[in-house]
Amino acid sequence: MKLFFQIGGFTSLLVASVIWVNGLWLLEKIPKKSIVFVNLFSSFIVLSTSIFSIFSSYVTITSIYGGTMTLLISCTYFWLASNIICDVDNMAGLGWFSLMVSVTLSVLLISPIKSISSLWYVWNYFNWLVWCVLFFLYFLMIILKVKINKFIGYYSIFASIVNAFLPGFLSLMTSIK
Amino acid sequence: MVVTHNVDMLTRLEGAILIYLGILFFLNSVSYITKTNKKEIVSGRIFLSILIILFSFFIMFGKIKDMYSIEIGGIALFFSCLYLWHDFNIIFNISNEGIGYFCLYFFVLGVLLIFYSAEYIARPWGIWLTASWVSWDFLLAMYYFMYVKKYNIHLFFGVYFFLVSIFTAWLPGILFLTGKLQ
Repeated sequence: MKLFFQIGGFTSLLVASVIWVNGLWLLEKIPKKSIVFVNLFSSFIVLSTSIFSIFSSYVTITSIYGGTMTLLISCTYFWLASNIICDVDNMAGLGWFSLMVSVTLSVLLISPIKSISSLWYVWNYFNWLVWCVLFFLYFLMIILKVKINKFIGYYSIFASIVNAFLPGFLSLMTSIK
Repeated sequence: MVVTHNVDMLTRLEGAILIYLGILFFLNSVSYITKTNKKEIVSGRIFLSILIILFSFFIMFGKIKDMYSIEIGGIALFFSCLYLWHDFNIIFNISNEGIGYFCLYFFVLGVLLIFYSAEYIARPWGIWLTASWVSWDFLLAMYYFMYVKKYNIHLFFGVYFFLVSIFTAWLPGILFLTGKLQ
C-alpha cells in the first residue's frame, strides 16, 4: 500500500505538471509546439506506472480501477502531443474521445461513492469528479465549439494544483516518512 | 510480474479491455457518422489498440482464467489487429480492400463459431454473449460490403457501430470493472 502511495504521489506530481503547462497553453502564454515533449514524456511515465499498478503482485481492485482510468488520461496527452506534431487543426477525434472518457468516469463515479470511508476516499472521489468535468469541457470546446478556452485554461491550472500537485506532494511525503 | 491474485481481479481486467474496446468502437462509429478527419484518430486508436493487446495477453496467457478470458481476449486481439491495420493503411495511404476480404474470412469463421458454440448459450450471460457475437459478425459483413463491394452504407454503419460499441463492449465493460457482473 505504501508503495502505491509513493507511485501515486509521483504520478500525480507529473500529471500536475502536464495539466499546468496545458492550462497555460490554453491561456496563450506558451506556444503550441513547446508543450509536446512534456505531454509525450508524462504520457509514457503515466502509462508505465499504471501498467505497474494493474499487473504487479501488489494489485488491488482499487489499483485496477484507478489504473484503467489513468491509462485513458495517458492516451489523451499522447494523442494531443501527436496532433500538435502532425499539425492537425481539427481535433474532432480527440473531442469525441474526451466525451466518452467523461461519460465513463461519471458512470464509475456513481459506484465508489458508497464506499467513502476516509479522507483519502473523499479526495479520490473529488479527484475523479474534477477529471470528469475537465474532459467534458474538452468535448464542449472541441466538438461544440464553445468558446471556453480561457475558462478551461484556468480550470486546468486549478486542477493541477488542488487535484494533482497537493495530493501528490502530500502522499509522496507521507509515504516517505 | 504476477497477472492476478484471483478470478475477481481477472473479471476487472476483462472489464478494462471491454471499456477500451467500447471506446475504440465509439471513435470509429463517430468517424463514420460525422466524417471526422480519419488521420486524426490514428494516434488514439494505436494507443488504445496497444493497451488492448497488452491486457489481452495477460488475461489469455496468465495463470488464472475463467470461461470468458479466452473469448474476450481473442475478440479484443482480433479487433485491435483490425484497427491497427486501418491505421497502417491510413499512414501509408493504402486502400482497404485487403481489410474487406480479411473481414469476409472472419465473418464466415464467426458464423461457424456461433453455430458451433450454440450449446454454450445456457451458461451465465450466454444469450448476451451470443447476441454480441452475432452483432460483431454482422459488423464484419458490413466492412466487406463497404470496402470490397463499395456500398455506400457509411451512415447506417456508423449508427449500427455506435450501438455495438455501447451494448457489446462499453456497458458490459463497466459492469465487469465495477464488479456488478461476475
